[in-house]
Amino acid sequence: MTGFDRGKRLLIGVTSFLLAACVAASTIGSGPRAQPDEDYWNALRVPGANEVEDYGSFGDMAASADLIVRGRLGTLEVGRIIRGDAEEDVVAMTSAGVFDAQILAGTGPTDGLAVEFLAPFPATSVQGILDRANAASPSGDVLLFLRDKGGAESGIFRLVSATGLWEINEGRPRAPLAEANGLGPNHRFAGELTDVSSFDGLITLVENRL
Amino acid sequence: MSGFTTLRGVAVRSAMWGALAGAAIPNASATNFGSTGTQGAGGTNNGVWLIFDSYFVIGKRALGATADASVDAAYTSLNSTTDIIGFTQTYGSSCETAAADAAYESCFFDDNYGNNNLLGWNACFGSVTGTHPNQVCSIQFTRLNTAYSANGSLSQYNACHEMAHTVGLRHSTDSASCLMTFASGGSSSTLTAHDRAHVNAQY
Repeated sequence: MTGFDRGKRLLIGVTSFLLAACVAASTIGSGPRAQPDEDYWNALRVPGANEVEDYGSFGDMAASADLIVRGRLGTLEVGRIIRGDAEEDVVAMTSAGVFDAQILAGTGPTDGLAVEFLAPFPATSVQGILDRANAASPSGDVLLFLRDKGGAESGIFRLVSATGLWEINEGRPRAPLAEANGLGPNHRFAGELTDVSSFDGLITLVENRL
Repeated sequence: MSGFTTLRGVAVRSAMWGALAGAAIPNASATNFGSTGTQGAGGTNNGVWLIFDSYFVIGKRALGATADASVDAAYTSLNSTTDIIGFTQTYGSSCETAAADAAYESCFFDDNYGNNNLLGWNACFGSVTGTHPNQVCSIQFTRLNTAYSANGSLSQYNACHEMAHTVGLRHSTDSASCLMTFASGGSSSTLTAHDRAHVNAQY
């Protein structure tokens, strides 16, 4: 493996240099972002994640959620740190407050409600990623389908799945975190969303499923 | 908590099968290979990447007995049924070093990471090269969440699933593949001929 390792190191060095040059060039030449929220959503996406819960309709998702709420997401902050047995096995969680929360179903706090997310990055990189994400915080309302984590984590809320967060983007309903798994903007919910073009329309649709 | 969350997951899976029963299932032979990882400021993030070449060396880091056996089984299967070659090694030092980056394609960890809805996930901890769908990560950190996968068969499925992601395989709709998502009913602990063909075409 010695020769292989040397080759690998050389390849890493050369490609890292080229990558850095490309990043620098793209930064210098970049214009306005087409979707300014993307850095925020990118910080929360987990492509390839194997989810325990997933849903195929608003009715199923609403029936399963512990709390359904409408509100605005605040800045992402570093939250709990979970440490495994290995010294470098450090998993950071982030959380975002939900402001102007309106509960559509379930019970939960309207003041001080926060949603916890996994930060699947090296723990040392989390703050920098969140700084960039928070510069692109979404300003519009979101619809959240939440799970109380229960057990030792009771009172901590997460999304029921990647499809548990919805916004209206350019007049269309969108589940931005579900796009990480190669799914279209409307995922399996497209059939239910044909006539929805506003956030109030989305709320009405969900209320009709409760 | 593990029992609570696993029971909830099973209930959801049942509901999913009902929901999917009348839906069109995508062609199981569709392409399920290629990198998807996203990048953020200060480092590379989560997703699916490729490895440099057919040499695939895994560092096992403080794994519990069940996860350790599952990672071994998944690796043995990959090693014996594809062109991937290499080995697994119980690694006694931190994988957060240049030496580990040079020696390993992936380090595997397991723990109860809580009810976060994920059986497992990959994070690129090293440098990335190339562009999607052929982006390579120099070292990945792969987590197996024992909050959901403490039992043997589920642990084997989970190890096979996450290890397959570390070499570039994406989710599959074929129930015979460990790359079918858990929520869609995935439980196999092996790759299919289709999955293996993707691996062999790349490496």
